[in-house]
Amino acid sequence: MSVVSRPLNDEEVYSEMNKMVAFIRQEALEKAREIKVKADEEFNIEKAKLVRQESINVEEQFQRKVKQAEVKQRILTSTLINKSRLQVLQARQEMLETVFSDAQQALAKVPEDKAKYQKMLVELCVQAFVQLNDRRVNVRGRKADLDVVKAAVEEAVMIYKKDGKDITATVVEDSPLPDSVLGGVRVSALGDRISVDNTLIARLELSSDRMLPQLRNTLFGQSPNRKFYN
Amino acid sequence: MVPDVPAAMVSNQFFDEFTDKVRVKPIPWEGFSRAGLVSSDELRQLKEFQQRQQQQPKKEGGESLSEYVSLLVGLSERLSSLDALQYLLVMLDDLVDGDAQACEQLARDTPSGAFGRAMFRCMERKDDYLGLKAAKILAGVVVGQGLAGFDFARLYAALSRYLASELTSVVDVAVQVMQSVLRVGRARTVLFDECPGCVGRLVDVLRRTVVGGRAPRGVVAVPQTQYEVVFCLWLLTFEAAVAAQLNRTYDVIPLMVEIARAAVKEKVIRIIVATWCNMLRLAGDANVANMLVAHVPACLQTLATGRSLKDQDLRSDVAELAEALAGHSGAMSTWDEYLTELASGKLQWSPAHRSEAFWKMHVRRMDEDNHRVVRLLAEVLAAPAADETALAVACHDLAQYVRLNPDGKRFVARVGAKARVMALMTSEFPEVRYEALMCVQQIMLNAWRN
Repeated sequence: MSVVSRPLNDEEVYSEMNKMVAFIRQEALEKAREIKVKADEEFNIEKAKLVRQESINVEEQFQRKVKQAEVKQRILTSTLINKSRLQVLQARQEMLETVFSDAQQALAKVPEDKAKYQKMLVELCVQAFVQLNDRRVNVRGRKADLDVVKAAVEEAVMIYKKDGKDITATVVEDSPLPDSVLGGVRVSALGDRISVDNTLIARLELSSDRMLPQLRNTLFGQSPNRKFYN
Repeated sequence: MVPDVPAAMVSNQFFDEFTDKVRVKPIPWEGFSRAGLVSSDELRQLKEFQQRQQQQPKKEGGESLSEYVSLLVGLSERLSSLDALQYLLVMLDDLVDGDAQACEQLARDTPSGAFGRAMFRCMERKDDYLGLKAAKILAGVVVGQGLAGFDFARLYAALSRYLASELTSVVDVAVQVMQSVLRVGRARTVLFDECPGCVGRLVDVLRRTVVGGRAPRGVVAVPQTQYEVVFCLWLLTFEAAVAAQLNRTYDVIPLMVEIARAAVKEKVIRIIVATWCNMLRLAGDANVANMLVAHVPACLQTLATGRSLKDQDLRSDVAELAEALAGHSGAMSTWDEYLTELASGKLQWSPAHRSEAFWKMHVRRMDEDNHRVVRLLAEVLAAPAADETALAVACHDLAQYVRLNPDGKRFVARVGAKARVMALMTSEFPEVRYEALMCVQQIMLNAWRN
């Protein structure tokens, strides 16, 4: 403040006061600016932190959703694959059934050729005798085949005895095989406790089962994934 | 209602007086109109505008503001008369000063770049006042809105010219504009990375306030300049990358210690301590060593006990800083202190250097880490700008090393320190000559053994 030799008049007082006011204002504005700068910086840091946190969260959520979608996709694919496999299996099964039923129908016609049928019966009986390996056996056939069976049994017994074994084969007439067996004989021993079922239908079943591999190959070709053939 | 802090705050007596003069200076608008530089429409608008200004200053509505803004910017592009330009800028500044909304509109309305270009053109002319006024307006708009892709480098180029001026008022206004501009984060990184010349000039301004004994020409008080420059540095240290490099490149910490010790005004101390807090918080590793060497803790001690600090923030800052530094220095042994001193390059005589026991204990450790310490000493010797104490101390330390570790002679020769020490025997400083001689003596002693 200037050195004064007399009291200040109003104007001078006013101007001095203004100067002081301006000075205080300036100081206050400077301090206010400092505070504002600090506040701005803190805000920026906080904001950056929050943004980073949230964007990490969003990223995680997104990854999770992507994974879920992937899993769903995979499940769907595998379900469809399974379904189609089942369909293929079913179709193949139907085809096999057709083959077997056709075979059965053809088999039903076999007894019509008498000569052939007789020959077949002889061989069936011999096979049964050999398997049973017993002195006394009972032979049963269809009612319709009775005569052919009797003749065949006689022949079979002769062939069997040639090998040096004795056998007495009795054709049982009171309990014939049902017609549904399509032909052939059932030979039993030991008081009907053991029997060899050489009916045509039993043989058909056996061979159907045994021939499945060849059937598969003929009908559907080999499996593409198969590696070993020996 | 408490008024908000304006984005661009420039208060300088010379500047304001000049502005008042320009405001009332008569400009021959009719003359320009006749010369075809100003269209009759624009003339009319200008007259309306002047009338409105006189009747109700600073009460401009929204659309009329943007009209006048584009009018003023358009005129400033076409006219080249200095008086007219000054007048236009003063009018523009009156419109937008401290008015955040107006700044926003200015940033939005002017077709991209036209406003910036006009201002830059003003800055690149020879007139100080015009350039500074344009810089101030630009700062006000940029800080408010952060124009994306703004060419800070160009602004700094113009400002750095003003910083080197002889007139303290010009320097003062330039620093104040920087105070406002540096509030934007990108501005700080651009300044530090791309315009080192500008930062250098800023630090020079600060140095001149301490070193120079001449009375400042002009009306700006030294503490005010110190406050403003350190404020700019404070803003710079908010970026971690800058905080780490600032001292290494410009050596500001010792300067700030000197200023803080001698300061009369509290706000200077306040801003200096705030800067140190920033540097420690954001880039502690880089700055701790230098702070300890520059005796910052001692300075803080005197501040805390000597003066009664009135500002609450300042008191808490001083306490925080003192604690942090104490934490670091407490964990250091004498050897670590020695390393710190060496790393900062400012070796001084301390009891550790003279003590025989110290050297005996630590001579082995000087060989650690591929002879790191020896290399550092060699670096200190090789630095062209080293002061005499540092040179003398380095020579002395090297002598101790060679004396207690005879194998070291070979290494010292390999690193080139031997040649340097021999050269230093003819140095201008007597102390350095003496120490260099002692060092050479140690190296030569028993040389026949190797």
